Amino acid sequence: MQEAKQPASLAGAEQSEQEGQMGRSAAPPAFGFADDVMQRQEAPDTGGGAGVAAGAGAAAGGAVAAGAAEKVSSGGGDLKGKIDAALGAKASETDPPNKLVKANDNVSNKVNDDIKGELASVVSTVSDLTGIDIGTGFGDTSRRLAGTTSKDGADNFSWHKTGRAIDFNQGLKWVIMKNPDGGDMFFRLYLKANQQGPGEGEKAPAEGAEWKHPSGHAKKFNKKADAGNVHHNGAGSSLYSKWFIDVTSILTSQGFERIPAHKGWEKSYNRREWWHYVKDDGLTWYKALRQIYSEADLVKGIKSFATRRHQDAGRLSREGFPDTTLQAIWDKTEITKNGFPLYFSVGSHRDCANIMSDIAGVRMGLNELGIPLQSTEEMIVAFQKKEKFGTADGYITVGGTTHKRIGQRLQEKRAKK
Amino acid sequence: MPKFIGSLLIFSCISLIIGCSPSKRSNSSDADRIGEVAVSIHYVGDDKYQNDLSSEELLTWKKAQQQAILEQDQGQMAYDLFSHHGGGPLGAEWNSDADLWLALRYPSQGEYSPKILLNGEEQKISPDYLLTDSIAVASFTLPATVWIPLLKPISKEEYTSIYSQEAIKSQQSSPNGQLGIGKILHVESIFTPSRNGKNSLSLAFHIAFGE
Repeated sequence: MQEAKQPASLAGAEQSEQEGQMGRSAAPPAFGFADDVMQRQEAPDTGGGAGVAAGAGAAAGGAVAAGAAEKVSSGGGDLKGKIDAALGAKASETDPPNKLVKANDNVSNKVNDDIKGELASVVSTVSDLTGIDIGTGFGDTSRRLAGTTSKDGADNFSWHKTGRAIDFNQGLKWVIMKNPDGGDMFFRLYLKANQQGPGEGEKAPAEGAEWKHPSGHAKKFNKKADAGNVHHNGAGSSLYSKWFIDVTSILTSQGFERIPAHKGWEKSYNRREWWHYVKDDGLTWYKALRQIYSEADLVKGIKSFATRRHQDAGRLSREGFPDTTLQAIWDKTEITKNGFPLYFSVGSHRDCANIMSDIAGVRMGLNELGIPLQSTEEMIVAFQKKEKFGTADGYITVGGTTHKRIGQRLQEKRAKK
Repeated sequence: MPKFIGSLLIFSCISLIIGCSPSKRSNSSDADRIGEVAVSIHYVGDDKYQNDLSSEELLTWKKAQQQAILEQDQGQMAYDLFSHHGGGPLGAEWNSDADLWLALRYPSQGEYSPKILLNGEEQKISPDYLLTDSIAVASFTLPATVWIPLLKPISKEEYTSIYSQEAIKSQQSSPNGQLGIGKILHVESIFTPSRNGKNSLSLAFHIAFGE
């Protein structure tokens, strides 16, 4: 799942804030039921298990989609149990394929060994062109999985935990140029080139002609054109007279991507993020973590900070966590209200985890209460309207009012039989 | 670049603001009277995120560091946070929540009872000692739960505690410079008896947090 580069508003809910700080939030999961089942059941391992997962998902999804109503009346709990058992059986116990290793021999900072080569290539190129070693003095590379933070600009769901994010040394003599893209503010980093004229044996330019730096990453700033974009000038008076090397272009050529500054960056240093690069190689956060952690270690580590079923489970779901892993993080225990169990929230809200067994339970329950089968969100809205809720928002917060009311109505209906 | 600001005086209250690596030593002529004095501060286990080191491994690490500090073996000494060579803004440390480990090295003759003050607050922490006939190394473990809450914003008056004059000059001209970004912790180490005045080393630890 390709991740959105759009930062969430830091002024929003706490969860939104964390995602905005990471700047790499995944798109909310699709919510059409059959599609949702299929999409969500990616293998929880990092390779190999897809066949089992797809099979389980397809079988379960088909059964629920085809006959949710009669399954409920004949014992929906049985179906849920079977689905859970099928999904649980596919959890991979294979060793992670990668590991954290020292970024290079000069530092103790560790990175995922999958990116070590590209990082070394970047460091080497920058060193050749500027004489500056950006491969030492890192702010951060990998962080421990179980680490928590409440600091402004920092995130518990950080890509640093995958060993694929690098905070470069902020103390170097960077020239930092504003480089907006759409509504987002990005920054482009430059360092002064160590070559400022013809090299040995190189022809000098003709009289009146200006020497051009041979690197495709080199740039000479023009005061008229560039002055308005200077965010920070670490080069002093030489900014418009010397050649500079576009370090950002070197990084992106090796797959290291910038993230946008967070809202409020103008007044808050921590929200600028110009030092932060990530090489995700198209992986979800979950898959990136599974490169270096076993499923058991991952569950243990995530459990230390992800505790909120409505928000954290929703976030993890968007970060590609399979249903079985989410259930394991919450000890495979459901929240039951008036006899109606759910693991997590269900519906259209971004903080809903929408795991398959919950969706199945909700659909079956609502159908039993006379709500026609349609999209799950529409079914929830229809129930909320029927119950004359002030707001028919189309989602069920686990343990919340809609959850309780569904359980209550099911109990009443079943008591009449 | 190593730099040394201030001096050590024996019979008066002194405050050294030092940013040299890897440990801070007296270089005054008075130093001969008390021997070599040094103070350094480290992440416990030399790990800013204090990963899963067992208590046994930590004890081994601390003993090895005490020995390295006693012998001033630069090759074996852990990264000194007072060196101000972190990857955060202008040399600040970046994002640690580890316990800190402070080591004082001083002459062992006489009545010494080292004390530690963090941003002016005396810490009731008992040191571990490594003693020889002439030199003592006293080390204090400063839990993250103690030092993080004591961090305070950096005032302009404190810039010289952590920045070089060159950095101050170059950054002052930039509207988006990094001066004052982060938090500061003044660590005062009192390492001799005070009958003739307070003899101490005061250094600053600079850290910033972000993603």
